[in-house]
Amino acid sequence: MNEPYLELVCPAGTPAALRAAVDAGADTVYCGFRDETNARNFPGLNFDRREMKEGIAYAHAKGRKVLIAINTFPKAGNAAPWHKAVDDAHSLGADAIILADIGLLDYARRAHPAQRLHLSVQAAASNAQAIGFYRDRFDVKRVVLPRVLTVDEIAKLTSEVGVETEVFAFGGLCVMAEGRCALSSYLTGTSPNSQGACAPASHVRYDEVDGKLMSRLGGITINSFEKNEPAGYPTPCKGRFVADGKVSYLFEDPVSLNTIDILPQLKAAGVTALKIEGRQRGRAYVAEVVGTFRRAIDQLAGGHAGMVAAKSLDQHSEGGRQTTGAYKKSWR
Amino acid sequence: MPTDTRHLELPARLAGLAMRPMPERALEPLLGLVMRLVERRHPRLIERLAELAPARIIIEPRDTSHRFLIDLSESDAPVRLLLAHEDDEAQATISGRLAILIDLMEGRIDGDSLFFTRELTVTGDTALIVALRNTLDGEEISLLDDVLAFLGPFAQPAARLVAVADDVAKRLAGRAQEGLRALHNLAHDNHDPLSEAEALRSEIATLKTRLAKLETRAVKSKETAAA
Amino acid sequence: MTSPFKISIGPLLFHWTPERRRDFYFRMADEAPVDVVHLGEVVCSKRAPFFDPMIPEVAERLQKAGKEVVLSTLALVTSDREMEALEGAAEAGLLVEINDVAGVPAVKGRPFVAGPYINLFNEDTLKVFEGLGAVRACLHVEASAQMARLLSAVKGKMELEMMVFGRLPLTVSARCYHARAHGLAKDSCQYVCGFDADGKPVDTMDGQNILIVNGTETMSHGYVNLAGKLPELQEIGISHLRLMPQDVDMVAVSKLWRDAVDGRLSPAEAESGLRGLCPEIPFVDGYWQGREGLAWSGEEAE
Repeated sequence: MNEPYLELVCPAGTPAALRAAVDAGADTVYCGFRDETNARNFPGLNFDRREMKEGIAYAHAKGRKVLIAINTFPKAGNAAPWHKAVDDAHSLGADAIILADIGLLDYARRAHPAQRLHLSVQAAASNAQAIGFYRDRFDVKRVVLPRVLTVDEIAKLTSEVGVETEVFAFGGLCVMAEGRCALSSYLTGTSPNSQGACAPASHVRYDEVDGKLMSRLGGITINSFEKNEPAGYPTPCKGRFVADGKVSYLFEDPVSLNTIDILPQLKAAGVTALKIEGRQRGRAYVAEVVGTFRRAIDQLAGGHAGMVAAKSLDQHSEGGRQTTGAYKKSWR
Repeated sequence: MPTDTRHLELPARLAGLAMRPMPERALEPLLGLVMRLVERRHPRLIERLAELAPARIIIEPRDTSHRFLIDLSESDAPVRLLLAHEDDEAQATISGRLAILIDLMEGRIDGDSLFFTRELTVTGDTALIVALRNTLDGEEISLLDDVLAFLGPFAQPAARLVAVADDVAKRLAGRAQEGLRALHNLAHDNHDPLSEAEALRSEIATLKTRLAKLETRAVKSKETAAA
Repeated sequence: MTSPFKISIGPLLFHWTPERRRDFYFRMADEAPVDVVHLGEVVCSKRAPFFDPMIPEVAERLQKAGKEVVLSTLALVTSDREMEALEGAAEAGLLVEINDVAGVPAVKGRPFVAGPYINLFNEDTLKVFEGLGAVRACLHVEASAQMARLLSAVKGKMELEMMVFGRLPLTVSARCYHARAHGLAKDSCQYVCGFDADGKPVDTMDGQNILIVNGTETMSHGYVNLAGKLPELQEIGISHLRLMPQDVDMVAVSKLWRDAVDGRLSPAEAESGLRGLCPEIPFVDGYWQGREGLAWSGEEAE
């Protein structure tokens, strides 16, 4: 029987995390350069060129792949760092480059005709026609689907588009269409799209006020947590706001995506790869989440779905809670 | 399961040590010692931390009576670990139980997870804390290995604690504590910590030989009893 | 002397009743001194059936009044039905504004406008869109003066448009926040977004007005207002000024802008005139300054 293989694509914010991911059973690791060319441009994170070379060597020695994400949108007047990142990723031997910007895709395709390209989730290609455009124009081989689609929609798309699809399996959940959200830049002036950081730490402040933990972004109050109440990232979409006089998590609760319970459906939908979010997380997170998904995927391949409990990853989840997000229509 | 618990022993002991009120005069040289250790074992970490300069971060182990200050400056000693005093100013403070902070430093636990569960509190310049966290996480620090590498002879007795007969274990534990106390005492003196450390080294080497003999005797007597 | 700018009325992003919508466009046709008017549903495909039947009548009235009619299309296309709506719009014989990359194949090489929901941030991307047939691009909400200047330098024959008045559409989602605020799901939303003609205010826990939800879209609470930047807009080479329909007297708003671009009002006078038309709403222009979007450099700025 020709059982399709689910590729496990794992995050690495540091060389140590890359090794942790490979050792924990990642098929593929994705990472970025140490600048604003990637969408996790956080202080102290990411790879310089030498580290990237070493990381690729480490993964390749064990038969694993490395994808380099250059998935921010180059700034007008300053395309050079992005072009250089593409050139370096190519010469360092990245198994694929993950891109979002149409101009940069155009550059990469012209400069490196044989380089394998993936379409980043930041391009938010959410339908067959948009994906078809990137396929026909730039020969992208795989698309990372935005977290706005249901499993049924994913199955349909995957059957139509003629490129591989990769979906998010675990981690931080963008509630909005990825790459199409200016909430953070509206409050901070720093754009996830062009500078690679949502709710950048430089604009985040935590204060203890009367036993409550207040989080502020760009001076704007995002949340207030009671003592011992589980907390989340200080992104606007996970904040508590007041509408019609009611305080609520209007956009989304502090919660992480976890698809352990719907892996059989995702596999049946025909996706090629499952992606773990979290290049900003520590290697302890990487090792544990990757290891857990490795077991779940292997058990699924062996016909033993459902042996790995979603709850086992609670402690790594925002607010200690998990969701299947947009994969189920009722989420909308 | 010696391999599973081994890593917990030293942090736990250090925690115990740090939780005991200790005169500040005693701690300062100890911190200097720790920094030289880090400089020697993790030069890349020092390089990366220096990139964050100038910056001052207060580390606050909630369950101890001390607060520490990491001072990053553009000087010959770019990274300094000091005791924090009441009036010390810093851009950021990170606070949590000592054992948690050690786990975090060793990358054994994820900082965001700790934050979600409120075990870690961050105030001030969040970017600085994130940078420190990411830098440490990228460095594969093992406090145990670092200290053992420094103390050398300690490694063996500590690892064998579980494997040998009870009375020997007790004695070994006693020796280990003695060793830590020696380290503690060392901190009391205002002499050059490195030369003090060398003295400690040779003292421990002697201890080690005696312990190994004890151990061999214990194992032999066990075997005799079994036979 | 011809005006350096064309004034356009952007797509109506709120869920007004079909009658109110039609009357709004009739007033635009008959009374508003504007050059371009956008029709079409951008935010939610569930709303489209209400007004779609009236579009031919409204488009005709606008064209007879000498306005260019542009048909704006959905910002987020996920279903077959939404794709069909987009393809239908592309075939309607009007200039189409695309807000999802799916629109590129849908227009089949015909001229189109790249809408503000398209991630067009740099020269290389602009050039690709020009090659695809874009005749105009309305710049992204995050566009700064510096970015506009750099894009303008390579725009060739393309026209550049800026949103200069109204709430900024900051993001789109699959989830409906209007429904969620009412304890409903998107599928059974009961069209609660129709209750809020200017969107539903979302305040911080300490009472600061900050955002607006409008169905699946989240917008700025403040209105962008670039009236004070008219000389700079002109010098950069922006040709179209987009006024977003809000729940204010849009005829009066458009007249103020017309007077300002024709030199009958100074930028400062236009700005204070606009202040008078929507006294409760803060103005913002932070993105244009290259800062946080909610910043404001104008009169009342600190």
